[in-house]
Amino acid sequence: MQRVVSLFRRILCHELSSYIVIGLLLRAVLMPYLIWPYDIGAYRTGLVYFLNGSNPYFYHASIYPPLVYFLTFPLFSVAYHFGFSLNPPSTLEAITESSANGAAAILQVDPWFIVLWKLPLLCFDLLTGILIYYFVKELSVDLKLPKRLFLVWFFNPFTLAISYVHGSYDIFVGFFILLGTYFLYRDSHLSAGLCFGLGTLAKTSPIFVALPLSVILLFKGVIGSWNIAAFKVNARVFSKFVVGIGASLLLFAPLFIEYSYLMYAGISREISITGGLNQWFFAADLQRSYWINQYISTIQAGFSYYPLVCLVISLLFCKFARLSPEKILFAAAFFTNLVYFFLPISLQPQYLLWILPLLVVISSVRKHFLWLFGLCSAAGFFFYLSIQGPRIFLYPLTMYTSLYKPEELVQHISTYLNAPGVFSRFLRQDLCTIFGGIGFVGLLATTVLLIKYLWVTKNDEEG
Amino acid sequence: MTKRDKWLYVPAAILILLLVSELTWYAPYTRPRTGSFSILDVIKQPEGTGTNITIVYQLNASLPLDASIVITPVRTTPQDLPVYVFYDVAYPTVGTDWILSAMLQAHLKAELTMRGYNATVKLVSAEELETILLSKELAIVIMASGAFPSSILSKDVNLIKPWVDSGGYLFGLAFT
Repeated sequence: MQRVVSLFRRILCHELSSYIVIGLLLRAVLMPYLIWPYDIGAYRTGLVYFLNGSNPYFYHASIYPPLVYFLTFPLFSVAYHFGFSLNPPSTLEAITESSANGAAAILQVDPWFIVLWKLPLLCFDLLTGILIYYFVKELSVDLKLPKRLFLVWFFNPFTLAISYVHGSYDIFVGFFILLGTYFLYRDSHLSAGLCFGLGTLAKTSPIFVALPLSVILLFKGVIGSWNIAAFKVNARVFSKFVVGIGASLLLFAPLFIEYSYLMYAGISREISITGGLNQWFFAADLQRSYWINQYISTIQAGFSYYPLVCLVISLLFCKFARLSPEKILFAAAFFTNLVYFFLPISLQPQYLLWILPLLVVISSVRKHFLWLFGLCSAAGFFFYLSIQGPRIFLYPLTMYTSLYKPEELVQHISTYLNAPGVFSRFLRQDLCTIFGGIGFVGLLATTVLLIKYLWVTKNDEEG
Repeated sequence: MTKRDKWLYVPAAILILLLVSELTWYAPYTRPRTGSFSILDVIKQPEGTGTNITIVYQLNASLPLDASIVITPVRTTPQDLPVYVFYDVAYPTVGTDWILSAMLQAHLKAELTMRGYNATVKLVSAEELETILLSKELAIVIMASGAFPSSILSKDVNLIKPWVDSGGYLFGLAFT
């Protein structure tokens, strides 16, 4: 009992506790009545099938990964037993009426559903912040820096917008990549593998980070010298890492195979830069992507070289760079960043959350990265607000409170959607192109800087 | 002895949670009955009394389900015919955009593949379309641009009717 009291006291007296309370209150305000009105309908449909014991992939009810369902399943099951219903909301008439002019496809859900959906996001968001705090503590001698960087993460408007306004689950991916990298830094390779595997169950991108990292683990310090003893040590480390990844993936093998097939058949054959409005930079103005569509097969062929590109870069790092434990952090960020340029899937601003936690941590050793974190966050945030205007997230607020009338909301959204642009047909296309372009430049600059710091050769460091 | 890193418990805890969730989901006694659809009987009216067919079916579902049952006569069952989506920026569109035709092809290709339909799904120009129609190739053509090119259908030319008569399938979208 005394230990529990002591633990409780330590938590309360921690330098982060008051900020965490403020942050949680802020999140509690954002959670119930704000959501991106498109994806949440698909989340609900997929969950309805899942809670009914049906395979959502078989019925093509969803293309969301298995981890999302297995993670939310206990929560929604318990809620169901307490009388929570997943049925469509009772205000169906109001919804139909408000969407009658076709301004937006409105798939509304109950605010309680939104809160339950966002609870796991809250847990992972908080865990990410705390992990940043402890990771920075290990990397930096500055005693104030861990708290500062925790605050940068915890109160960043973009990260708040992704999880609590949009309701996207990319925080799972960001957390697992960061935790996996932390374990690599700490030489806990099995746990690192488990984390990258769990991340892959949340979205396929972490596997594209883990594969080149595994090559680095295998060939680090042996290329050129052909040191057999060192290679044996590396092989042991490599196998631990790969076993960790494999164990996570095997855990959900049946559904994960189906999900992977669906992704391969459905998503990977679509080029990333065709698609709807919710795209990053290139497709902001569909008219401008004509030339891209004419060369779709060429661009897709380029994507297929991603494994080869990664292999070559990984081997070059092994040959020329001094891979200190700190450098594995840079390498993880580099390959996460590379995914944005190569993956043949739709690129959306919320995907920035995969790399942002790494950038915050890296900024503790290279301050420039905090600027890049700010640039990417700002670009992503304003891109979000430009897609269909900031009011697009307010549908639950209009449906379930009297603060804002649905008709007024639809009118305001329509006005924004039809506002003429300066160099595109519509203002929204202008804004998306500008902010998408800034984000794109931010990612390019991140790549260049990461290469610069990774490419410090043995001689340079010794010099 | 080094102090054990507390973060090691995090993936372990998540794995345990997921494993419990998975076992519960797969456990047969916790799973509700899934939906099913079956045709019990097909009763044809006797010869000479008309063309009525009565179909007896059974639909069971515990899901929140909104089902529409469509029964349609089928003369033949086409197997994986090639699908051609007309796309030629040299021609104008009516009430739509070429980019939408290209997107339709991309999505259709993916959706059909997922459902086990493995034939070609490709974009074709006006010239290629003309060749397909003239050769009477058995295929599915989708015209999503709202208009036909004059080399295919105009006051003087009609390549569509002979091709459809020979068994081709034409889908027109965006026509007003």
